[in-house]
Amino acid sequence: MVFQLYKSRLKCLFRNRVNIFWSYAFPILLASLFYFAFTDMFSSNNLETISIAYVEDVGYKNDMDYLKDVLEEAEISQGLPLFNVRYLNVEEASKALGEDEITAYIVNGEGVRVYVKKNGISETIVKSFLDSYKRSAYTIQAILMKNPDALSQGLLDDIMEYKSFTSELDKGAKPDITLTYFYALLAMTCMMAVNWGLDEVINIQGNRSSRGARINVSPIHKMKLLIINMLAAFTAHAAGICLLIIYMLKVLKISFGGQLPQMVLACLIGEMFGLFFGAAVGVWVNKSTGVQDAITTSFTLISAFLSGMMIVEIKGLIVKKVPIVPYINPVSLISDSFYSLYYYDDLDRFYVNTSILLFMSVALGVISYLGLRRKTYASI
Amino acid sequence: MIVKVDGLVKRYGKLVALDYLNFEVEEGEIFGLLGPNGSGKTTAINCILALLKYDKGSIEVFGKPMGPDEFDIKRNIGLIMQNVAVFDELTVYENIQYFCSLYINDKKKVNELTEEAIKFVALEDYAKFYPKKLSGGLLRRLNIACGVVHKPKLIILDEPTVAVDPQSRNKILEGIKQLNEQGATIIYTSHYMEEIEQICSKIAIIDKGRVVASGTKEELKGMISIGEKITIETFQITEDQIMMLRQMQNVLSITYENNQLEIKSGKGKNNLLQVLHYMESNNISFGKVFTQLPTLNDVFLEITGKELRD
Repeated sequence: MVFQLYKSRLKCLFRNRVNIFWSYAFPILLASLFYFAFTDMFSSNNLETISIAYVEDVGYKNDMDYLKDVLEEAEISQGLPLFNVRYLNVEEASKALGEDEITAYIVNGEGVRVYVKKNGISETIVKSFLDSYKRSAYTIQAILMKNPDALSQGLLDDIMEYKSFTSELDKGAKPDITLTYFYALLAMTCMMAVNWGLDEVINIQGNRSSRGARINVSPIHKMKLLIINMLAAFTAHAAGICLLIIYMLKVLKISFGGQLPQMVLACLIGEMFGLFFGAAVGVWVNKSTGVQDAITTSFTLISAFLSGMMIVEIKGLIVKKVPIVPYINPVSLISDSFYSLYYYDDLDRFYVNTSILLFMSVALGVISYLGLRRKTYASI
Repeated sequence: MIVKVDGLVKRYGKLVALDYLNFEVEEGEIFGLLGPNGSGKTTAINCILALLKYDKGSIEVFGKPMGPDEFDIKRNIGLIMQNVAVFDELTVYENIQYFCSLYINDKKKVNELTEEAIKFVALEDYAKFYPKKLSGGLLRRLNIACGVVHKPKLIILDEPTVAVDPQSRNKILEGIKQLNEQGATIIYTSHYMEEIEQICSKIAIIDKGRVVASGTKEELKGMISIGEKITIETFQITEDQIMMLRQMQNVLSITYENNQLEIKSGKGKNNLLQVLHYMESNNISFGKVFTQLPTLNDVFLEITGKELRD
């Protein structure tokens, strides 16, 4: 009987197109979207040498001006120059810009001015580069005014040297901001189990559906049926998560730090939380199914938002301003577990996160059962 | 005694849904609970099934107090509700199999009973169909199959024919009789008096949460003063003549509307003859004439002062 009921529930779940779309297809679509968006945005391989013109106003010749040298020496990577610099006068430069032979031209006179024809990534790079140059030049000039010997004391070397104040552990993992999105997506997918948990509870409550009434009249114990149904939902939803992980690993080639078993464990605990949260809403929120659906969906989306899925800076902001939230936000806990697997040597943080999640899941499971074991209803 | 409901009271706030409801259902009966919408039929059924809390009274099923954990009692009950209670994602066969699995452990037995139930409701050709592909009538038959697949001793049908076409309705009523012949006791609630009259061996008329009358249909009709209803088509009758008819022996009431003279008479043998004799002797021409025995609606009307369909 138990296996038959479990099998029937699995059939129901796999044939529910709405749930399958949101838990199987939607995360894969979103992961693909992230992938295509981020590969273009962050890939330095796509940067090409930018053609520019340099116009020098000899009337303002400054011995301390190294802009021409800096422009020529700037590189995208070893041996690949950032700029292809042509030396023209203003008229020639303006004509070259009009005919799209160059992206921008720089006039170095009383000040440094840049002329572009349109807005774009290349134009922004030229502008940013010059802003950075101006700041450095101003700093150097200010120092030399106070200490003329600074140049001979290695000022230029000091200025050009970039120091990092964080030390890199021997994990081989390079910080990658795009991972925030993929981790949050995976965590949100786990949380989508809320709708599955909600459905399972509605199906076995005598006052929520005709099916529930019919099931309540049968001689099966509610606890037994709840376990069977939740197990079926867990299986069906876990299959979706596994599919997403495989897709991310094999198709999108997203790195998860090589600790796949722990990652799957975090997902399964997260999914369990989602199921029991949905169940608790189904049992304790005595409103229509539409309201219950709205609560679970809002909870999932808000949790995902606070964990940085929509705007990555939110995650940092929440940690800074309301540090308790990441410890009770299931999406944060799940995505943070993934981070700890990716970035940290030991698994302490991973275990803290998953333990909190597991504890909350069990608590919600107990809360759901306490409400569900109600034997008769005040109204149907 | 299969079901005994004693002094059942159920309140929803200030509204009294069941007001000291009493009735008993004997083994082998088709027991009809007849009453208008909102009279408390479904509430009574939900209390019997231990789905609904009640404020006072007691319910016994198969001689034992009924409760939510009385699994031995529940094992022998089948429920068919007004709303179709099946899974849209399962086929006809899988739905029946699922509900059977809630009662029966043995897989082979489940499959046997599922096959039998499909045959019983004549859905063999639709076994692989999903519920959404079925017409309203077929869907009701699936609903019935899910409720009776485990061969319960007591079957409760709560308005199973609402919004069903006449052909499917007849099939459903025939099926209920067949289940009864096979040994099941039936509780059938409806606000359709024709259905109740057609299949029920015992009837309780319920209004405002109370049983206002109960017995066989003959017993119920015997409780009221009307013996027969005479309807005569006539185009030229005066108020005075109607007054004269009204004063005749055994005439209880007369109405004249749309050229139809309707006379309700008490119990007696020559009611029609004396009316026709009067009309003939007073040169009142008339067309069609027919008589009717009182219906359950008349019983309800006389006892409660309102129509059953109000």
